[in-house]
Amino acid sequence: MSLNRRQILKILMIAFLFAGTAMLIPLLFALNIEDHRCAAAFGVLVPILFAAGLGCGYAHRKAPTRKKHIKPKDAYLSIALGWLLVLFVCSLPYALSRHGYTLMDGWFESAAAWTTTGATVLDLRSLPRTLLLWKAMNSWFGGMVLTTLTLTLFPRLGIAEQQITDNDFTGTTTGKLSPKLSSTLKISFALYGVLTLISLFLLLPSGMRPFYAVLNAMTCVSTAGLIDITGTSGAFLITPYIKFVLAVVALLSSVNFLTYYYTYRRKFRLAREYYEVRFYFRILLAASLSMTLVLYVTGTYRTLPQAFGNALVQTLSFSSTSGFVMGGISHWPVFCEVVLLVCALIGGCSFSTASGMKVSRAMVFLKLMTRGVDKRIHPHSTRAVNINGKAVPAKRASSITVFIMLYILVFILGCILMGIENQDMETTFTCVIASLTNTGTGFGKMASANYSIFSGFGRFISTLIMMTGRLEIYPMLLLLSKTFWASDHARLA
Amino acid sequence: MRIALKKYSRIAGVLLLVTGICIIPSFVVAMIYREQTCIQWFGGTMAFCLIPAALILRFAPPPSVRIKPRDGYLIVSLTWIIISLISAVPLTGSGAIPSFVDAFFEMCSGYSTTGSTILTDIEALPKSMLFWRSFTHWVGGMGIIVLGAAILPSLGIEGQVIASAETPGPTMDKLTAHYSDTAKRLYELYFAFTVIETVLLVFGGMGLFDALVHTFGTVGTGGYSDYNNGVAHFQSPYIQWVLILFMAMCGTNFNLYFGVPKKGLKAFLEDEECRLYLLIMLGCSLGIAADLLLRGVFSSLFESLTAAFFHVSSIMTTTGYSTENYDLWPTFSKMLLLVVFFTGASSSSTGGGPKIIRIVVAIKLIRRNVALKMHPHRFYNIKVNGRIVSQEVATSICNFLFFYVFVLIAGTLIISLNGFDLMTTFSAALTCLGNVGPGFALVGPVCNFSIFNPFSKIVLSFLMIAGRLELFTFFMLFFRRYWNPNRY
Repeated sequence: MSLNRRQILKILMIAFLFAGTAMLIPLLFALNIEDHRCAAAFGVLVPILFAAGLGCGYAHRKAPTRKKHIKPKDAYLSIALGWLLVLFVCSLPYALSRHGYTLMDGWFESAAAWTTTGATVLDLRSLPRTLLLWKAMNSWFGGMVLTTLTLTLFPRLGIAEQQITDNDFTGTTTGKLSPKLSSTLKISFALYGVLTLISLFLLLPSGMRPFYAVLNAMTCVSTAGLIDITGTSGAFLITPYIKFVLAVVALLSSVNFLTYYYTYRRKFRLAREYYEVRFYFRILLAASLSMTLVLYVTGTYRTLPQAFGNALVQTLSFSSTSGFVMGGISHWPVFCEVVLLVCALIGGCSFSTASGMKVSRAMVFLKLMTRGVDKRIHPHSTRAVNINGKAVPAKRASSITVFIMLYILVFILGCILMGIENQDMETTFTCVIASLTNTGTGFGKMASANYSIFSGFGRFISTLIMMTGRLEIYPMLLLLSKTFWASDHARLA
Repeated sequence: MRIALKKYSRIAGVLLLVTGICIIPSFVVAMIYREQTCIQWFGGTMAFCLIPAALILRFAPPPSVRIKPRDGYLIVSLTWIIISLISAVPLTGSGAIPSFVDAFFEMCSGYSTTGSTILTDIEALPKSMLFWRSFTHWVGGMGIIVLGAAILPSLGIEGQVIASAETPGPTMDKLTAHYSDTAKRLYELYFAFTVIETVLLVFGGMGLFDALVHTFGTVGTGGYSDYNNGVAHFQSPYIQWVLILFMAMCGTNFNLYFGVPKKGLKAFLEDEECRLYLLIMLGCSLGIAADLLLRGVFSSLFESLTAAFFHVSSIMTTTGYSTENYDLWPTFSKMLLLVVFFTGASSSSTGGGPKIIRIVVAIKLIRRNVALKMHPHRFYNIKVNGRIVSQEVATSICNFLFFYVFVLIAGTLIISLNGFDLMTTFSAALTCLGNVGPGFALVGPVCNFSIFNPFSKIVLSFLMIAGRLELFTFFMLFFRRYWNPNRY
């Protein structure tokens, strides 16, 4: 086990400097609205973080340059360490601001924000506005960092299950980072920025105060969900227009970003016929139509358009793993509950800010099943799994298979651990689904994305589940595996 | 049509014969207890089965067309459905269960060794009907086709081909050269278990009738009892531990018992599947026992250990007996129970569920993949019991697990139309698919399935049969490709 110390120092430096820079915004905001306690907290942290960052940078310079390229092991460790560090640093303002929040509260808030879960253990209505801004910013960063990770680093690490067929955007080379990386990064940042601006402009005329429009634009684009502060001064009413905007933003941010790239490159046919997006639309349609029918027949809504509108908004909310709730879904029939949970588990498209298992994996899941039937009818047939007319390489198919099994395994482990909290079964279940898929909203006592019913232990476990789900399981899992810590040298058995 | 007639007529004859023979013990019980209507209906159904069977076997020519694996799927699926339908006739006819859908559910639950019931008052049934319900567990536990092959080896049905569609687990070990011999040996062992357990239960103070009913429920891993409160009726730790022992034994791979004379107990410990099976059983039981003790559900260690072991082995082997209302237990315990709902018993046992062997392979696949993430070019084989698992088999095991999850979700969706809460709906689908019996919430251990509407009951019945036949055998019939197989 030899780690690339230089690499780790670099990650630390980036994390510290990034957090320090980001904290300047809430610092200025706090000074502006004269929230001295928050200003003090951020004011103390900024110089410390900058000092730490620069220190790491200096050490990084001094560290010996033994290795030229990054190994998978180093990359995984960097991702996991980087996340844990950033999450921890970002949780400090909550604790330091002397508003009565503990470090555990802060940890949960920052983990829920960074993983774009959008859950909370606090009463958001009484949360100081500076911290509310900080939480929304964290969600926005989380969405951005994850999008870039899935676009750049994950494919090169072989967590490429999302990417079934090769494309010219991310490339397929493994090992070292290709020169195309920086341009990919730029495009994905630009896309993310444009999406945020679109949602901001859509939200501004909704009667929301500009401050909340900015917050909600940031949380919705990152699929963290709506910051629900109904009932406070300066709050907004949820009008049909807001529902519409939220649905549009959820859709935009959960569709595969490659389609935007293709459109931008004027490859309209490729964009229109992108298999994953088409399948995603089919899921959305099937889910919302079946729910419409059930909602109408059971008399939950009196008119069909009303039923369809609400069903569609909720489907998008869960499919994009945003998890905003437009009231009343706890009174919906169980059928809708199951459909929504399945939607959350499938999640959005790969290369989007949505989380969950990802549509492309679900496609392979279905294909593998029908192939299993074929195999039993014709035991000697050799058919590959075809997606979009192209065969999925066997290695990748088996990798996806294992990912899905891991997803189920993490879910079961999560249920057992959360079971210690002794809440009822439905709450425990949906809480684990909400955490793992980063939806944040469940059913039972979880309908408001509020985790305050759990004790410190349950909160901590659910943050771990959130991170595992958001980081596509492997970075968290590998840290626990024996192979990871074993020696680099091949063993002679 | 002519080919189909040639192919299937003889098999139909054999199966009718088997059904007819299966009714005999219940008929005898009805005679002993002098239950008039039951005698009539059992006798009638028996005649309905045996007379056509005799005619077919006398006159139908031996099949001239080879039976392919593909035919096996259809034969087995139809067999299980038809035998459930026929068996439901005496129940409805005698008025024990007035609704035919209910009776069909009850029989599907019986043959698939699920043990879910729609009866609210079990004790009100005539004795012979109680016996009949439990006896279906005994028949279904080892398999109807296997039974056919065991008692009628010379009738010319290609047992191996068909039985592979019925035997639980991804592989079938060939113990002997002829399949009928294997089937016979399996049934001998099964019979031995039955006799020993009955004797032990009688020794523990049960009446012979009760002992037989509970033995059928245990060795078939079914879970029907003849008392409303099930095993709790007896209030005897001795009986509970006997049941724990036999449930655990019948959830073990039966083929391993044939290795005992040579290797002793090592036969079990050498087997990876059996090791994991025992490990999960032990781990979950101890976890639950600790939880129950700490949260004060039971005050004594022995009580909580007994309850934990009883319910873990009952659910893991997919038997479904219960002595306590585990629905009131702490959530941690319930979650551990849910884990064993998912794992099921060993392959080639009488239990249901996805089977431990598949879990073993899945875990190894995951470990392999984790290692490959670190060293992408490493060469890595999956081995179970020292033998390499081919990519083909591994893929098919994954396919099965996926299919299981898919059917579970689809089943939950359909049942949810009935409008019960999430846990009821989900656990009803899970327990029927895994052939366990009770679930949680409204289908918990002290409740029953009478709350569902007929549509849900039929769906659940098919889930039970599909689960017992390892999904593919049953669901394959719903794929278009199955029916026009020669075009590709």
